[in-house]
Amino acid sequence: MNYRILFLILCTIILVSIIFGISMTLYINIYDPNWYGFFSNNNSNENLKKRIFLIGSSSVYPVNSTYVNHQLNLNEINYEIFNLADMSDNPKKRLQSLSNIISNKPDIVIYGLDISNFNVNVEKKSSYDQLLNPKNFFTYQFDDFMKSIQDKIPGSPKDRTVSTLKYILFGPEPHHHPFINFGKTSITPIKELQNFDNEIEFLEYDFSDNNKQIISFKKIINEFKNNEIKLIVFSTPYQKTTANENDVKLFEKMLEAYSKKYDFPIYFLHDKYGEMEIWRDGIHIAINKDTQIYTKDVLKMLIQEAEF
Amino acid sequence: MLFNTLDFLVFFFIILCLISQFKFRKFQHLLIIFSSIFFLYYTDSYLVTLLIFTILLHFYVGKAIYNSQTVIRKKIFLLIGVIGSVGILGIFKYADFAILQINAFGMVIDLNSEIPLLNLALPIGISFYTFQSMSYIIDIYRGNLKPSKTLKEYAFFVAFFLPLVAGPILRASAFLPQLREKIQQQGTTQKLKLFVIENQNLKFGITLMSLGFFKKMFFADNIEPLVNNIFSNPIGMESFSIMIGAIAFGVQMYCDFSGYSDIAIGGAAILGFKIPLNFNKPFFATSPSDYWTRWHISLSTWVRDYLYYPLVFKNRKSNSLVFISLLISMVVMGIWHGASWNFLIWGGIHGVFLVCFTMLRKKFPTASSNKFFKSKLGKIFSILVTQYLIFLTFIVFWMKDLEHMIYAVKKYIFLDFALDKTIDIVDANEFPIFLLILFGILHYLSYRNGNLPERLSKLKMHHWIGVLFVIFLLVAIFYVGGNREFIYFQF
Amino acid sequence: MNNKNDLNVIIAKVFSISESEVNDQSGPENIERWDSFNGLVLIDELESHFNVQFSVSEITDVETVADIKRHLKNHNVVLDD
Repeated sequence: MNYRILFLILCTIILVSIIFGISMTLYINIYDPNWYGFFSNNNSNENLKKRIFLIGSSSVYPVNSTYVNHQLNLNEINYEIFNLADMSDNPKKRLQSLSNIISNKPDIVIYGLDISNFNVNVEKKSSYDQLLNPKNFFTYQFDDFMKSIQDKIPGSPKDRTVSTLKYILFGPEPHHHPFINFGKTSITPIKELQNFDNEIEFLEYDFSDNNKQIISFKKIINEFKNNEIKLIVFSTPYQKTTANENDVKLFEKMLEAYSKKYDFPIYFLHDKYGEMEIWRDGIHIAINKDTQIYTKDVLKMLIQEAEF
Repeated sequence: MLFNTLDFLVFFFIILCLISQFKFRKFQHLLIIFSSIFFLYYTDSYLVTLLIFTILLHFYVGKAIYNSQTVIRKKIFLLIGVIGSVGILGIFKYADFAILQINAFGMVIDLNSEIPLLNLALPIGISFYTFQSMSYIIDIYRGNLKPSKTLKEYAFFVAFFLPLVAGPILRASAFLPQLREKIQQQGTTQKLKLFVIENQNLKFGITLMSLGFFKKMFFADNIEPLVNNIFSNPIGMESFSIMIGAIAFGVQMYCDFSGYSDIAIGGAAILGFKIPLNFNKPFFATSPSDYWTRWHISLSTWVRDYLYYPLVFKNRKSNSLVFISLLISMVVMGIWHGASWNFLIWGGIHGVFLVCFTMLRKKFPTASSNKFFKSKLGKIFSILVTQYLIFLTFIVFWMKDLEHMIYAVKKYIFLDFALDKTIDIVDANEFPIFLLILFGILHYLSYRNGNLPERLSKLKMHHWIGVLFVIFLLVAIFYVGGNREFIYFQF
Repeated sequence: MNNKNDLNVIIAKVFSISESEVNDQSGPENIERWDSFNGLVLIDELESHFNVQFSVSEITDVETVADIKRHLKNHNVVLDD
């Protein structure tokens, strides 16, 4: 075998990996709501309104920032909200682009936190199970390594590349939902969702300082505090969860403890909508005119806490 | 193990390193055989026993056919082998479909009991390796092939991991001679060859595999959302939207399937095996007949040689029997794809197209020599008409719901010339639409310029690496990822 | 009577190509019009011209013109060189 060819291929793969890594984190680290792209007629660079950033994962995306902005306008509140939800977001990922968020000088940050961010996903399979599922056996061996890579890259590199290119050329699109763009989604009846019950396995959760997500969450809280950015935290809603009852209680206790310690308000929405027919799937509320309750509740908490 | 995973890349790389480092025949052959079994076991676990059973059954049946003195004994052993293959395929792939039809019929005649479904897992690659094995024993029966002397040789042929999961379907008569080499010193003793990874094969193989990954991961996976947007609920869609969906699905299928074939053929080329093309620019076919010499060639030639020719050969003077044989062959081809009515209908429609085209050829035998059809304009006309018919069949291939299928086919044939919703769809799917156009351009250039993988692999080293760099980068940054549509279960 | 020449003429006629394009390596892979329909037409023409009858085994064992020549030789058709 020609080792020169293999060596060149290896160098190519390394170079591609580096460029890939940079391109996947580029958008979220350069995002600026004032940027209107190279090919845009909109030349307004100065926005006089104060900023509210809503951050979290795709569970936060269904909060309709257009509706919220409309309500703020109606009440002559000089604030503008941007839904910066990002796919597969978690505190460790979000920490990597935190300096960019802070540099955009928001007055308020609302953080929707998923309980699922804190699972440690330890699969204790028997040797017999591993023998029948060699794929799981091998992926389990490299789980830590793969997770550390997955933490750095978005769930869909293609979506990230397309939105990065659009951002550079035409500015963030849509303007108030720059990182995810789904459009409408339909409601799945709860009966249908419950057909998936057999597939749920309860996972192990860790809310102690041994969990890197907890450490990252604390760092995020501190950064906002040091930069005098008002933080509001809420737990994102789910219809199904891999956390058992006990873990859910521990999650609530953890948030209450940090809320007291770091002095930020906390709202629990995780078990608020479980029986309502507003779900797209187990962890995402549908994006639909019939599911506005989630948006309205976030607006309520904003008005309550923001002291406009 | 899917090709477009890190697992496969690591697995293949390890195999190549071991083959190049340890130049011992027995080690190399056993390595390929056991890693092929491991390859299937990796995703299919215990179902790999079906592969092992198929190998053993056909090896011994092949020997028995060859050694039988009478035609009747040959026929009996052939029947055992064919029933064994078709039986396994039938049970695992088609049993539940048959049970559903029986239960449905039972409901119609008010029978109050239902046969429970077997709910068997579909073994990966079973459609491919059973057909491959059947061709082996049929060729021996026909006297066109001598059986493998050793189980090792036959196991290698059937289990060879590269074409195992998604083809091309290999023919023993073409593959086994490549596996063997004559040892001149000891006369004509045939031994299995030593694998040597040669530079030009390595370059060509890597080029072809890269193009395969490019077709599958850059084109097919990124066009899929457009197809799903249109076809998941076509009721209410305009004609032009349906047409876009049909074209998108055709391109997706081509890129997905031919991409897989390229990876298999490229990987085999690195090891020194020549596997024939499975796709040859099917979107430039000038007739339904021509299309089937260009699309999934290994399957269409298998059906031609082992089903169509035996059916039609003695009765080819009778037009109706020729047409019936064509229809049967195409329906079987349809069902091979899956246990579902839409595949049966798909095969039937292709059969109808072929029958009509055959009728036309019989009625107008000199038409193909006509000036118009030999001209450039005539060729374009033939291609457009053929592709219009072919893309219609892609609608049927996708849609399992009969109501959706009928609606979409009607809209495809009886145009409504409406554009509003189509424009919205195009707007909402800019990237896949862009990819369709890009694919069209690249595919045309490739058609005009001949064997693209061969030409690329002969480039100077730095140009070749440059091409690979662009391919790898595009595959990486446009990788669709594990997240599809709106299903984000993280359980 | 030049059987080899006749063979080339028949092949050229069935597939609408020129005789000069026919050689031992010609086959379905490189002749565009060589599909299963024309394949059967070719068999008919060869059987009637050379007065032979092929079996299914023989027609499925054809990848090139060289294979056709081999089968014709097995039917005692002499192909002059």
